Amino acid sequence: MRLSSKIILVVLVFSHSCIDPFLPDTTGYDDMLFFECLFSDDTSQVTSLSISRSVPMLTMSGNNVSNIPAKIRGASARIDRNDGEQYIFTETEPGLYVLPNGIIAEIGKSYKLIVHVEQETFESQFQTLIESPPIDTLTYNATLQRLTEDGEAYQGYRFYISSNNNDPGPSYYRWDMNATFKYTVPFAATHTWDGREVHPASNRDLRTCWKSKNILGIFVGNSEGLAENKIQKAPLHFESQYGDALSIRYSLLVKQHAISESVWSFWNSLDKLVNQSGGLYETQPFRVEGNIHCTTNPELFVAGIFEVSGVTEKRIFLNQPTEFEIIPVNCTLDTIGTEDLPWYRVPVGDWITEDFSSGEFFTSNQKCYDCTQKGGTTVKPPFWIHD
Amino acid sequence: MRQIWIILFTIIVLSIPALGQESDEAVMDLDFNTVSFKEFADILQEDHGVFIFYKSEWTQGISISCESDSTTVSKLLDQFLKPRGINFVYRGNKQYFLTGPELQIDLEKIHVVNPHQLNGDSLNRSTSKNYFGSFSYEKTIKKVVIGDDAVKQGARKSFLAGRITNLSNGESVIGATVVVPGTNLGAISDADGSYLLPLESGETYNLVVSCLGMESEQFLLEMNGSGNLNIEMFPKLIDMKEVVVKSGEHHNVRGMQMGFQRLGQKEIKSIPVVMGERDILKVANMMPGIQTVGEGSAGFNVRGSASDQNLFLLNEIPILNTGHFFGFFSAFNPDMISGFNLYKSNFPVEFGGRLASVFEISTRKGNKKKFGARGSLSPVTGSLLLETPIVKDKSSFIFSVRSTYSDWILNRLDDADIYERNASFNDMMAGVHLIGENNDSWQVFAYRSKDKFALSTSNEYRYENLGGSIIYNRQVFSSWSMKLALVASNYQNYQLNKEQASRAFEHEFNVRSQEIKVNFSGYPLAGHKTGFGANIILHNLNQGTINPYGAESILSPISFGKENGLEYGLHAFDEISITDKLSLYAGIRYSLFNYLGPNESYAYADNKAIERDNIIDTIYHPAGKNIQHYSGPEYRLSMNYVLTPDLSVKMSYNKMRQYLFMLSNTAAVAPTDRWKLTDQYITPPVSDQLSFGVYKNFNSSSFETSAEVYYKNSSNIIEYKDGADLAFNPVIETLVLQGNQKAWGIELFIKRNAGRFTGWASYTYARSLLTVNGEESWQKINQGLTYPANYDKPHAFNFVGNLKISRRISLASNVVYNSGRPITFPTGFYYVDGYQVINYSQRNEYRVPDYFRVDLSLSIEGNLKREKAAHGSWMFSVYNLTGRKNPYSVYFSNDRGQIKGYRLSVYGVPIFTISYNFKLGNYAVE
Repeated sequence: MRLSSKIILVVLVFSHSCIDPFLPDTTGYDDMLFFECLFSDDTSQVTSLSISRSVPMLTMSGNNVSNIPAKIRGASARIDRNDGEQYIFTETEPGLYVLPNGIIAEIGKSYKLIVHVEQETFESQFQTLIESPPIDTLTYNATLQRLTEDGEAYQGYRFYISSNNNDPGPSYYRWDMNATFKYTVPFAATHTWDGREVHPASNRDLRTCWKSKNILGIFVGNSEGLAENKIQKAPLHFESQYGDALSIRYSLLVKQHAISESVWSFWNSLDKLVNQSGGLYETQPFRVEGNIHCTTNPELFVAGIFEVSGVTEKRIFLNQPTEFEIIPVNCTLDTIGTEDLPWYRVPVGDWITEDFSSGEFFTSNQKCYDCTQKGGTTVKPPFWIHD
Repeated sequence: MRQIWIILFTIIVLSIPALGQESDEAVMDLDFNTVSFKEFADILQEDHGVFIFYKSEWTQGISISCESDSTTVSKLLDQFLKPRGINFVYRGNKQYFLTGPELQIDLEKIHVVNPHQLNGDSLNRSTSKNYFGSFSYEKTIKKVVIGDDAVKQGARKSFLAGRITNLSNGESVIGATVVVPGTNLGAISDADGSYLLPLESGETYNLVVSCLGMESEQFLLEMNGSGNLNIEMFPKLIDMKEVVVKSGEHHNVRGMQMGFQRLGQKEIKSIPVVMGERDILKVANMMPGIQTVGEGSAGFNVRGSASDQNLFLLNEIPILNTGHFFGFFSAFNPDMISGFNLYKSNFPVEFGGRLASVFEISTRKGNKKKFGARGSLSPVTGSLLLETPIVKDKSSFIFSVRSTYSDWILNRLDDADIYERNASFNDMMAGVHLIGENNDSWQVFAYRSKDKFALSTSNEYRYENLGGSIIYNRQVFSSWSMKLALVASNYQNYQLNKEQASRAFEHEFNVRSQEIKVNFSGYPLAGHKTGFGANIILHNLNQGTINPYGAESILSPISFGKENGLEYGLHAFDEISITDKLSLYAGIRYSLFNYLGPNESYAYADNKAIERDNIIDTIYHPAGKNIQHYSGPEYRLSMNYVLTPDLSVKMSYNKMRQYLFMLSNTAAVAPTDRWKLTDQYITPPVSDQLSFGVYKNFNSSSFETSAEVYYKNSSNIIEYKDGADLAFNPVIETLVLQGNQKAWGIELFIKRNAGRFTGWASYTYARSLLTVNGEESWQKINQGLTYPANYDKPHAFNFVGNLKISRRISLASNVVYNSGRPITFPTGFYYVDGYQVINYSQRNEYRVPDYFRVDLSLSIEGNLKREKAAHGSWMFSVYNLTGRKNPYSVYFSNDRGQIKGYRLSVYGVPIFTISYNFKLGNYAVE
């Protein structure tokens, strides 16, 4: 049983409490294999299986063990369909195994993952693909959110999903999201600097970009215990007022995975452990196992998820918010001056702005001239719709 | 376990050198060379804290010389005063009273009570005459003749009974000791102020009545037969320099009790407070063997047991939720509390139904002499208490109310997350106490505490304790007393959750109980104190229904059903004085429980896990049907061997059973936790506790020390499966697993009762380990391996000190240290879909950092004028003086893709508060 995090917050504020970053010294470490495989009817996705080893927590307290999970190479893996058909994975990069392009799951069929790592065999149960109902609406509203536990609250948009399933329930869902946004950089350049002199030039083509990002996080919901088999305004991603994301136009693509109850409870447990622990009324954390088990050695503890899901998707667009202000990354122009060429402190290739009235030259962080330096592309994505 | 025995052995060995010392008078190194008696007395007072009370004309011309490194004041007084014909009385606590030369005792016989009139209505209050003059420092000894000397017979058994009251307000004096010094004859007044002392008729006794905060009374008692003696005690006089008589004194070494704590109002008052609220539960928490999971959490853990294993009785009313505001404050208004008894082991037979402790709280009964009022104002609450006689000396009424007076603290908070919130609580107590003609008494008491906490945007919590009790005490025959209690209580809880409009719900539940209990106790034979009784409790639990809230909510209602149970028991005990030194308490309680219909339950497929998927049938049980029955004996044995008057060893063995438990899988007690009866799937937890203790008093009992070890083995302890969702899953048996709990520990305690500096220090080493290892794979927690309980904190040190700087100013301090609580830490992490998640270690494998806190408080009383309308006092306190950020919990959260660790402290800064208390009358008004 867990109380609302807000309640805890009030209690804490009331009692002069505080939250500080803290790293405990843990000595024990259980080495564990982790499997992850998502198999869906989504044609845009290549089915992949990743096998890795968990990373000891020790690395958090600053010793030099790598915090990149060790990949398990040389495994053989396949998916069996209930009618006997088999799909074989091939290893394309260390620890990553993929099915040939175009192999997707079919509605109503059941699938099972079988992996051989060294002498051990790991298997999931058969799982039937459940058709995902269409997403009815994606909405958003302005809310306040604490982005880090010890940080201050940010404003931003929280997205919500509603969907309706005509089948008798309950239905279980996981949502994953990809955001794309258009953004600009503030400064227009008049010249570039080649190390000896300035050349007239324009950054016009580099001032508007589109950038896509995968939304990290676990978003799950179900219709268990509801009078109707529908999802009504389940909370999704929160996009904050900081940075470029909401500055001009923003698009969110939501993929809805219809999953089984056991897969749902794997995701839900992870979410509870990662996002809802701590506080006055915390419950015992526990090991999350998932649905992949070692059949040759049942004592061997592994975690893993083989998710067979039907996928539907929906995209929305939104313009700059009116409810709150956007706080962009700080861009300032620094005076370089007019004299004293060459400018040793200005890197070669930098964009320069001249104030024609005074003849003074300025420059800035190049991210304020060139939007591609912030990870975006100047090519408009094909799905992008103007407002 | 082996370590404990070694420690214990060491303690016994260390105590042996003190065995030879028979007298409780201090041996001193005294060196005087022809000093006057006045100088002698002054030096003793200055250097040794010895008070000699005398009239200077008696000691004219006495000069004292002595050179000895091992003498006592008595020896010197004998030597120098006896030749002058001056006698003295040693009253303990380093106080000597010179009785003047040539005692001309003119004993006047007082009202004689014929034992045959005891059941009639002709009893008068005993009167007495001063033995000496009226100097305030002189001891008053009254002569009392009990029984009719016309029918004087040879020695035979008789009883002295009566009620002890406070002369200033007519309130019962609880816990006063009535003893015959130098013998093992003694009694303690009960919650009603009544006492019963077996004596021999035909004998004359020196009877001493004493109680904390009261002037002790002494009687020369001539017993001709059974009779009544009502005693009125004076509150301690202000102009007396030092009278410290402690009710626990008799108890600590010579009494049967072990694993027992008693605190009175004075001690409760002298402890630093947090946010200006005095709190008896926080005081109890400073006692050895009592832990909380963390600061500001409701509930305690007594000797390594879960918090629902404690029985809180407020004038017999069971209180299920003892915390206001989620446990930050206790639900008992301290102005109204007269004291508490806390049993950790060696439970008297009349108590049952919980495994770990009984917390017996008694309230004041009201002033039977005159109207009184008092109150206090702190940053959080204001409180007011009124008391008045209804019929002078016969009956009284008392009423108290305490309430948060505004939400101003919350309103000051400038945090958009929690705007428009509202938090308030209040509690009320009212009581009427009547004393009848035959020393029978009636107490009618009612209690209500209410809490409300709301966030307009999302959640609302409300809960209420409501209860009432009628307690009737009377004497039956000459040597038996009877107590009859009718008790009803109702705990109601409401929760509204609107975090997600489509799933908004409200849930209300209540736990109701009705109880009748009757107890008899008396002295049927010489050397025996015997008692027996019965009780019956009807539990009605309405677990409520989760109902959708608001038009947008599409949640279907979830019904949690209703439960009924009948818990009843018979009990009897005999306390035997086998020899002067050895006494034995042997008791048995036979408790029974019926889980009753109407109810609906599920049947599960044979040999399958008790899980929702394996439900094969729904069974309907009609009203009144006995669905499940449990019963069993509960043994209560204890033994006390008094080695010397101030050294004893005690042993006890107890068995306890519990039929009602709390559904809680959080580390601390949450405000929404429900209660449940044991049923056909969940069997009642049982515990066996064995304890052993050594008790030693030093320095005329001004220091009490004790060492206790215990070992407790509990079975059928209720634990919850990983990730169990108690809030939404009504099928509790699918969430619960039952296991075994072993707890053991050693508790060392030292307490100073007398002098300007009083207080105690305790050290506890204790462990509490759980094992849930059922036969089937689904019946295991932590893979069946043993793990520490959430409240397993091995080392605990507490210090409470109170320094009286002057009569108006006192300084108090607490020092608390304990091991951090166990916690489950992540040991590794991995990435799911690029998102970092954590993998946890075995349960409670690690600990949060240790806890340390210092509190300080200064209280300043108003002026000490005797004639004043009202008296005020200020209390300035600092909680967590060092501002140490004691971690309550350590947890991990994914911060933008990266796992980060955080530490949460409840009180991370020193908290300074000022509170004001007032009362009608002067400083001394109790």
